[in-house]
Amino acid sequence: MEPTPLPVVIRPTAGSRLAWGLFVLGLALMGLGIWFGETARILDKATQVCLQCIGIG
Amino acid sequence: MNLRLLVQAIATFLTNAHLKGFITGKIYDGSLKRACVPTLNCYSCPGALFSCPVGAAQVILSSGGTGENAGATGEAAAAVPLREKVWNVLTGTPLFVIGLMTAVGALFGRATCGWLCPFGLLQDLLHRLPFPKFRAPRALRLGKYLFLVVLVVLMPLFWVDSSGFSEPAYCKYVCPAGTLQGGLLLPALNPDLRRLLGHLFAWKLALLALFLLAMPFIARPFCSWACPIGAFLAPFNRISLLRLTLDADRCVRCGACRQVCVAGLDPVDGLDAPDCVRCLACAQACPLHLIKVEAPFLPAPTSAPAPTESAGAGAPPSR
Repeated sequence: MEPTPLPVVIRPTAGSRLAWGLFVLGLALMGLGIWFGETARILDKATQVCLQCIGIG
Repeated sequence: MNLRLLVQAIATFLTNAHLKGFITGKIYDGSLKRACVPTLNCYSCPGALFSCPVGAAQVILSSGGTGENAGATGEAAAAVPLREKVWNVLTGTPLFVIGLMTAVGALFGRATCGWLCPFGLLQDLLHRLPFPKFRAPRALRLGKYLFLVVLVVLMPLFWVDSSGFSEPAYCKYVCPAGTLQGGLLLPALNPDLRRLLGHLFAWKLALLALFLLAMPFIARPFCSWACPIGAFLAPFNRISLLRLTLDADRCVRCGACRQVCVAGLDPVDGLDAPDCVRCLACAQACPLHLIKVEAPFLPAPTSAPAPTESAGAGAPPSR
């Protein structure tokens, strides 16, 4: 039976070292942010109604 | 149904799945909000389960850090020990948000804009309406970088009031997603909030209306002109692991890709364009299958579908 062709042509590649490096750097920064308590501070803000977002000020 | 539209709809639902909030008018206050989504989704939307990276970044930047003397100015700032200054710089920088967006950008470029963003979905849907289509001046596309630098970074850092506090300026003065998701829904469900609405709300509402009116005529106007997330992710299109490539030697410039581009671009001019949201519509539309999707995390090579006979190498260019 004829396989259904995919809608786009895909091609796996190794990817650039720069992209992989930035990916790892991003993960490291996320780890540092969590370590410094950033996510807890984000939680504090995000669980209260943001008056600026609504347009109250 | 269009696969991308389905993914966008599911992503919009999952990021706003606190359905109780749409009835009670109370926002979700659980621990999932520690995390940000890599898209513009207001955390004051009654349904939002996660935080918005733009809002979160401004909150951290405006805090000036978590040290005892964070936010000190003038002589008081000079007297702060170096160790505490370093601590304040580290904790006053949104490392988690920058890290998240860097990791996402390195993997996918702006694909999250095209596949996951609720505000992107809204723009795509409105652009499907049968109105004449226009292309806005390219210079407007620089606006998003200005918004990122001035309103998201500089104003929360330096525009401090007399009591030493600064505000998330982008959320306050611009963000139409916040107006739509928080500004319209929360006051509609809370009479107390409704009584507080004033000139600022009217300004934000007018801005939202302007973008909504532009959407049927212009492809993704908000993404192109004013989205700070788009501005941050845009440079990653050049280096991300998910890439699009074009066999330019065989391209007959039929214009099929240009016609379907949801960002209003001409893919033949460059598939790494900062405004490309990786929707892959161009790859699907190319009759010769010359636009290929590349990434290390994709499955094994597949054979290309046979080119459409009607669009062979002899087809005349449309422009």
